Amino acid sequence: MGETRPVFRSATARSILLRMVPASLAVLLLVGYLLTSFARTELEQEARQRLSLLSLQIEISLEHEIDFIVNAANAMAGNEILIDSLIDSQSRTTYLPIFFASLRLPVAGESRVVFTDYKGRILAKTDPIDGDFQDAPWLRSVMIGEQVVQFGAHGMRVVVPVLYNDLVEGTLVIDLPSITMRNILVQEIGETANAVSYDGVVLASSDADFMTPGGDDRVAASAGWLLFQKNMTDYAGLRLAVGQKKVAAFAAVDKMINALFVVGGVLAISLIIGILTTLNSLTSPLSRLTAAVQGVRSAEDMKRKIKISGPEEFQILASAFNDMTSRLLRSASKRKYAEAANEAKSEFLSSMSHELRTPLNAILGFGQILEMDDENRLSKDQKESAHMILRGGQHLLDLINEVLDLSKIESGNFSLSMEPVQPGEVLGECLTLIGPMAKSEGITITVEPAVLSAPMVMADRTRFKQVLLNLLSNAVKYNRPHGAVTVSTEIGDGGMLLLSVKDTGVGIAEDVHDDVFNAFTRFSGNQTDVEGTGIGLTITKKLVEVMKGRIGFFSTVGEGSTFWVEIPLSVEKSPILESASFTRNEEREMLMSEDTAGRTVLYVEDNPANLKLIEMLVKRVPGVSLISAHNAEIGVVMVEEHKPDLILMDINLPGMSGIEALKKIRENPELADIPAAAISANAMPRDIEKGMDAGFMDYLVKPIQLDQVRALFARVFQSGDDAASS
Amino acid sequence: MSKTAPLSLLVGLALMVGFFLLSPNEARADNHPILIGLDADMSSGSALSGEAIRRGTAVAIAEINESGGLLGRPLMLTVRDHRGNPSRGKDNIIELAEMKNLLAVMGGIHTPVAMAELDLLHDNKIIYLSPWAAGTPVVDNGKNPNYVFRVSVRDQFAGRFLVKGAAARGYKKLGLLFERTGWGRSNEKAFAKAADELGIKLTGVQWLNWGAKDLTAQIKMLKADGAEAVMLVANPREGVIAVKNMASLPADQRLPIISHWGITGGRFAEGVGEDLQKVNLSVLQTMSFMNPPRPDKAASFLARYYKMYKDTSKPEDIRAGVGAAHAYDLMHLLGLAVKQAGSLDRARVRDALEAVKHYKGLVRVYNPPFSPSRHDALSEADFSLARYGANGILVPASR
Repeated sequence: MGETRPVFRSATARSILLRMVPASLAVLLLVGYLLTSFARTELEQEARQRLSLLSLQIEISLEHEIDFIVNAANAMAGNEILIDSLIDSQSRTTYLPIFFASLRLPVAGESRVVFTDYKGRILAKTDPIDGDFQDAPWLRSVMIGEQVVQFGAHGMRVVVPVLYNDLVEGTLVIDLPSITMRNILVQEIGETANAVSYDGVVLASSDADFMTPGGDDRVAASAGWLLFQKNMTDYAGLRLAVGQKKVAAFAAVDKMINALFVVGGVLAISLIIGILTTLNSLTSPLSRLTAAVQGVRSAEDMKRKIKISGPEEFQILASAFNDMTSRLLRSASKRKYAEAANEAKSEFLSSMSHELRTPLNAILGFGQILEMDDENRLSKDQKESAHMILRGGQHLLDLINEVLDLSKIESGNFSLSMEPVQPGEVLGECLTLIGPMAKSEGITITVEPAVLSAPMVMADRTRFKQVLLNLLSNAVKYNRPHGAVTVSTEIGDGGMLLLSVKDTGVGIAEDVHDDVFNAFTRFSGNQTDVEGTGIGLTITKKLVEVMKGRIGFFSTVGEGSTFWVEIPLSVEKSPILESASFTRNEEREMLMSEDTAGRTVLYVEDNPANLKLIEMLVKRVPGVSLISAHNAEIGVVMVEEHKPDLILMDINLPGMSGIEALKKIRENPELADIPAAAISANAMPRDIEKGMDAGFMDYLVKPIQLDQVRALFARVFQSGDDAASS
Repeated sequence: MSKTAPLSLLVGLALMVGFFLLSPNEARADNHPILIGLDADMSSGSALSGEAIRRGTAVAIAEINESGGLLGRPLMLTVRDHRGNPSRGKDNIIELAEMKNLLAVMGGIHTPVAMAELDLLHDNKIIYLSPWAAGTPVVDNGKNPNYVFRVSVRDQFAGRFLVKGAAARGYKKLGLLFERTGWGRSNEKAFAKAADELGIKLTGVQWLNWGAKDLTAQIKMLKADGAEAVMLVANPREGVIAVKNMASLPADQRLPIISHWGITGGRFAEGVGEDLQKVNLSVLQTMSFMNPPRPDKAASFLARYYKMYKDTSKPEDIRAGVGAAHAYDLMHLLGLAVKQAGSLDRARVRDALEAVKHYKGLVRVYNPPFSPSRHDALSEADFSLARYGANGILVPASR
């Protein structure tokens, strides 16, 4: 994101514009729509009110006009000469025609006035007329004293009674031609149109578009008009219609819409400009920040500083960033130093472990050979010495392993693989290992049946096993001769499994309870002969804690101790194992001679002492012959040539390493299935992991334990048979 | 008063039904009642005169029917109201003319209506008996044979009588206030002639219209022309206005009014009310039941009258009595003529009316009533002047 890039090209700008502009325009449109529709409703209401008012005005004026004509007719009907002429039948012919000829009504010069007797017979008239009114429908009404106002295509007719002594004796008819009627009925008022209808038929209209004379007043008003209709109160049948063209009525709305469009356009443009300028002020510091962050990420350019400018928040951010990078710079150098120190320690431990193991390998190996040599029987003293050598070596080895372990745990350079684990199964494995030791001490280990069916716990299987082994071995080691160890279990609080190992040893004095889990503390009491590194329980406690468990104990001096661990239960259920009680008497013979008959084992090893040790060991396994190579290159050739049943491979070889050699072997499909195990003094977990990754089925750490080799053989050769026989 | 009209119709109908029941079958056609039409104002401004005429006619018919009717047939009155309107009157005549058994039509107070009906009457040969309308041309109508017979004032005589009366009261200059109709014009001629003959000055004539609402202007004009008395020819409605307008003038400016009798045909006294005493008003009359010319005849008439009309019991109760008296005499004269003619043929009865020799009537003794050249039975000698008493009753004026 270069700083020279135009702001509207930036993704942020685009996204803000895309979010804000359409939304703002939509809101504007909505507001506009609501506003115009509201205005339209208001205008329509207002227009209707105006029309209603107008119709009232027109009605009043119209009624006034009609009243005027009716009043004029009544005034004329009340004229004495006219009344008298009804009676003066002899001489009225001399003056009535003259009177009528001269008659001009003030309202309308064009009107025709007709004077009839009580039966509608014409007595006098201003203009010629066909027939008389004897059968006129209005006659009856007029003769009972009513006045009649009629409208039609011909025009308007007003008939009033002529009274004498309050009795109707004649009628006066005033006919207004349609043109005069139209002038009276229709008034041009502003932008409105009006029309008058009689019995639903339009008589007159100020605008032919509005209503057509002669048409129906209900359908006449077209959709383009706002219409208001009103029945006239004083003149039945007469209906007034007032209309306004919608275009005219809503002109204000149209203007408003136009104005809204302009406002909308201006708003949208100013919005875009505003957003862009704001974004510009935001994105340039943001771009600088981004560039700096990317610089830190990709090039670890911690020295880069951001120019402090822009809005306050950005200034704070920039200075915070600068502060952060300088701190990071400092902490990074500290970390590097610490890492280097740690690395040095690891390397030291690794090499120490390797350097110590190599001589130990010889000590323990040959000690074992010496002890087990059946051909050259040792004297009792010699045997005792060899045994002491072995015990010392073994103790040293344990110490090295546990120190390594502890350092690993303390450095945190240690990973757990938590999984559901069956405590019964793990306990079984532990008993297999502890069994011989217990047997040699004459100690009975009793496992309560509940342990075998205990529910699964969530733990690292290896570490859990290590914990149990430690507790069991302690229980055996610190027991009295022919004592007992009891393993029991129960479900504890909070989804924990409580596992207790009870011994019948001397117990732990109360004043040292607090030191039990501290490193290098041993409470052997008078049992000074018990071997121990002094850090077993320390490691155990740490392991239990990293597995989210707890550990503790209670002890009675002279009676024994009970160590317990609590491990979280897994959600998975455990299958019920067969109830079993393991005792040292039930130890199995692990190797069968027929399993190993005619087998060839290749050992690639540069260290003659180690080679010698394995040679001696293999000699003791009937039917197995050992071939060897002192470097990897020869080893590979020998594998191709002899196709051994098992390859034992040292890792640290001159030239090609053991791992490289195995890789080479595995390239040949014919040799790919040959089982291979690593034997190395590199005991660091990293090394073991590397080896296992390379394809070794097992990784034996020097000093070589004969039991381990035997177990390896048993596993390889048995499984090989199983595979062949199946 | 018009309320009693349906009652009289019922009486007539009852009589008719009675005759049907009494007569043998073969004589039934001959025994149809003889119809006497009454064509007068029964409901408008002069309704009182119409009712008076109806009552007088009815009393006479009752007497005739009681004595066996005419030529063995009963008389029956059929009433038509013209309200003083000639158009209605003409229509009434047309209607009556179509009636098979019509013998004669009794007219009303209105000269203009009678005038308008003349052609129809003569075209249909209908005997027209006039008990009130005084217009000279009603009788002097130029028709030959003349079917109009009158027992009433003749304007020609009335003019002379009233001018004389004015002169006798010392009025030398007379202003005329006449209704603008044929009647008014009939009087204009009569007054002009009489004044000329009697050496009385007529200061001028002011015409008043039917339906007039104020006559002050006319009265003032008459005064301005120097009239000492106002001669009034009008009907009750306009008469009331004239008298009230006169009364409204300051007392020293009021003129005496000598009126033709048209004003007595309606509820004049009620209309004028208290103003009546403010104006010196004399009015033409023929006879009065207060002072009847033939008391015995009047007594027998009144006895029957009171019997037939329960709202009356003394002479003062008989309103517009002249109409009743004239109609009564006319009806009996017609009866005599039928008897003399021995026929119901109207032409022959008309001829017989001219030939009736003698009749002792209510108004006077007719000896003879009519002649071929004279169809007016009364003369100036039968006239008198009367005044309205405090109770609105006309009383004969002391000379």
